[in-house]
Amino acid sequence: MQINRRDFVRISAATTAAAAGGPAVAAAARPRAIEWHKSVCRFCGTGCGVQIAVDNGRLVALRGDPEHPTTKGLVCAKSLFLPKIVHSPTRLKYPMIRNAAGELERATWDQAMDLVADKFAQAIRDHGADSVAYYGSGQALSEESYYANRLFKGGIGTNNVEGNPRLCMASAVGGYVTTFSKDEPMGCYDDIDAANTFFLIGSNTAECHPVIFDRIMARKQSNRRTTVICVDPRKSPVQTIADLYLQPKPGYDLALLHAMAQVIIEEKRYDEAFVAQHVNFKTVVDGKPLAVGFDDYREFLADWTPEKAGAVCGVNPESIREAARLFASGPTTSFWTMGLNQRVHGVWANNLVHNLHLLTGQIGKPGATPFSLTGQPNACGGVRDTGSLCHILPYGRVVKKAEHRAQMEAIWGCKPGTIQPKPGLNTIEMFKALGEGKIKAMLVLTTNPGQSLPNLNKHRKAMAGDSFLVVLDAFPTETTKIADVVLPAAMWTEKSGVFGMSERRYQYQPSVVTPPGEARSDYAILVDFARRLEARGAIPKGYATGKLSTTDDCWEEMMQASKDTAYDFRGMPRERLKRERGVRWPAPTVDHPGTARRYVKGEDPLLDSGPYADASLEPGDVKFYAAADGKANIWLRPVVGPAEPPDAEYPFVLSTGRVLEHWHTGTMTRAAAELRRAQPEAFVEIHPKDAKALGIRTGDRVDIESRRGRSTIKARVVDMPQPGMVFVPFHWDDEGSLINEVTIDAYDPGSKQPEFKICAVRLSKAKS
Amino acid sequence: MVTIGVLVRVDPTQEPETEARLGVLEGVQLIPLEEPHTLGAVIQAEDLDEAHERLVTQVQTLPGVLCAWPLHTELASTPPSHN
Repeated sequence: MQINRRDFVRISAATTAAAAGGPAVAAAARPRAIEWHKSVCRFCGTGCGVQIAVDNGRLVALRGDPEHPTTKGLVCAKSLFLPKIVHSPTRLKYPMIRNAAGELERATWDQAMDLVADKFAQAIRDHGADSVAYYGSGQALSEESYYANRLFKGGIGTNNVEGNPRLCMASAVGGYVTTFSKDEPMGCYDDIDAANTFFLIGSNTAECHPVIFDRIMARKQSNRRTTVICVDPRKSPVQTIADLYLQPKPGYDLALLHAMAQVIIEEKRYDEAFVAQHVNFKTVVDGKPLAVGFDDYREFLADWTPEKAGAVCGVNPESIREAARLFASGPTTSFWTMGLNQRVHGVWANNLVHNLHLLTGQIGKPGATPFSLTGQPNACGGVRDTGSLCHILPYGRVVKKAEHRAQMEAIWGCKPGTIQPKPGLNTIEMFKALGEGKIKAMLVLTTNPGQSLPNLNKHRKAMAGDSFLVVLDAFPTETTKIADVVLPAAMWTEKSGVFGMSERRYQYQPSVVTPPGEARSDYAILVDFARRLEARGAIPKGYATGKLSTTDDCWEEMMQASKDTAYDFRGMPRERLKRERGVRWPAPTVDHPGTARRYVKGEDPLLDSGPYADASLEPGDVKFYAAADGKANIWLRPVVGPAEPPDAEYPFVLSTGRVLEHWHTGTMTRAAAELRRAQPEAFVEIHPKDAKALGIRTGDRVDIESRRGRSTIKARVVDMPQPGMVFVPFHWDDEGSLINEVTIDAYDPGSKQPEFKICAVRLSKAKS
Repeated sequence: MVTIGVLVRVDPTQEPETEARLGVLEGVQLIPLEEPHTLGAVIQAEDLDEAHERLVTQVQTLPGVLCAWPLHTELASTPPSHN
């Protein structure tokens, strides 16, 4: 007898119950008194639906939610360990203040919060609002990011609001905004089930988004026409299912993307009607955008034949032609992550992928979409959408526009003119200002810049300097080691709120267990902080007290803030999100099912009513309504290489990334002994040819040195990076293994995202 | 005791052989699923470490297995308190 996934989950649960209770027959097992709750996974931006079981106040089980519409019961191996991670003995439990001897010492909440509020209030009073800063996270709840943004921009009056999404997806934001005039993907995971071509570029989907990778594989299994194109300078497990693998020289894939467009035009594989109706062509002259035409684009691309591009990027011209033909045949879904985003020309790389979709009309129909995958569970909903970066405001607004500032001032209830029109400091500049003493006090929430920032020696020195650093976290980290005050934060399942994942789906997660020791939710800490600032006159009276006391209150305001924006999610009251497995915005009314594909008449409700409505469209018509003329932009971007290409002194390219078993700076996954054992320490992948030339074998310790710092890490000699390139995951913080001491903090001038993926290093076998 | 329910995606060209290979693994119980080219596998082990080890080294690496994803994990005993 065959069963479905849902019944299978039941059977495996019953098997556990039988094992626990002793009887051999599962069906006869006595059910345990456990409660199951619907939630969403804590790790990446896939947003897997999960169910969690609580027994005697402890998490005892986790299962993929078979009812979840997009992840359908799957989770990856990391999720298995979430119950253990939540109950890890290494959790932070009490507030701590650094004492005169330089050691962190337990304190009461009042002592810690008074000190934090005093230091911030003093800085604001003595040096102005821009002397303080907030550095948040794509792992915080949406309500937490929104509240912090509201406090700093609308209460204190500084735009020094940043977060770690600046390090991972700012270039994707820049790409969407410059091409489509509004952030966030237009497609959804459903497109995987209808695509015939997958274009995976700069994405190790297999290890970083395993459940999405499975869905791609399922599509390939069920449809013989499905082809996978993989573009990556380093071989990853994605390559194992690729029909066409292109391995460009690191940093030169812009040439490859232009050459694909050149072939598509040369061979007349473009969608002439779609281009005529929906696309503008733009270039930049003297720093300003200039409208050009299709003929200018064709002329520009004529210079980028597959032969010329192949010589620049190191890919066989015939493979480029084949990729272009497959792309144009479609329906084509593109996925990318850090390989495109963490680059000094990340926005341009994003633009060029969008160019291919617009040129071929592979957009706005099932299976056809450009889709940037996100690495954190709530970078989209929490930071991008709530506008919690230095240049933006909630739901597509920007600080530069007076109308947008006025709207948010009215919603937040602050005095007109409070929100500054000038963007605050971006992440790299913010930490630089901290080191220079211009930022006097900084609040870091649910992230670990002491490990994750590039050119780490410089920025750690800044964090450990005279300025006041307060850190909210659930675990000890490299950042808590140098903080002046550490506040223990509740984590996943210990607090309730919303995560918004890659496909615009907002999902509710409940609080089902109590946090350890005296830990509190970040939201509660922020509210307490705001009220203490108010008591000290550092924010206007009445701005915080009695307002938005809970995440539920906050969500109400957030929904209203989305009115008349492209994000409209007023149809997602708390009760609906508690009941359903998330809803994709826009969803302006409670009876709207959510939107699979934006910008498509008949699917996107904003084309039916509200400021973007257009009655002249027929079902299926596309309109990129965020632009005044309803069109998207194909950009003529120059081909420029990385900020620091290899040279005679530093002849190798270093690229950083992840492994399946760990996540980000590893503070959670390394708390699970099993995951620690599976991948216990940092390693550097070196191509066998290079290893032979350097006399390095697997297991040897290798010095990796750049112009900024040095790490000493064990070698893995393996044919994964191309010759001349090495790869190091950034999850570990053991002595000598902080690879970000080596990376570069040069950043994209548009997105301000640093180039983690490419810097020049030299290698040598370590002496000891 | 720990149980992991795993969805195993199988190479369609090697389905019977792969099922046979999985069927002889110790501590692994197979359950046919409706979804084409997939199998349900229930892995039981003394602890999560062992279960994870079996998933990674025995199931995922078996010829004919394209990938194996956990659908459910359950610890028969409550994790110790961290307080």
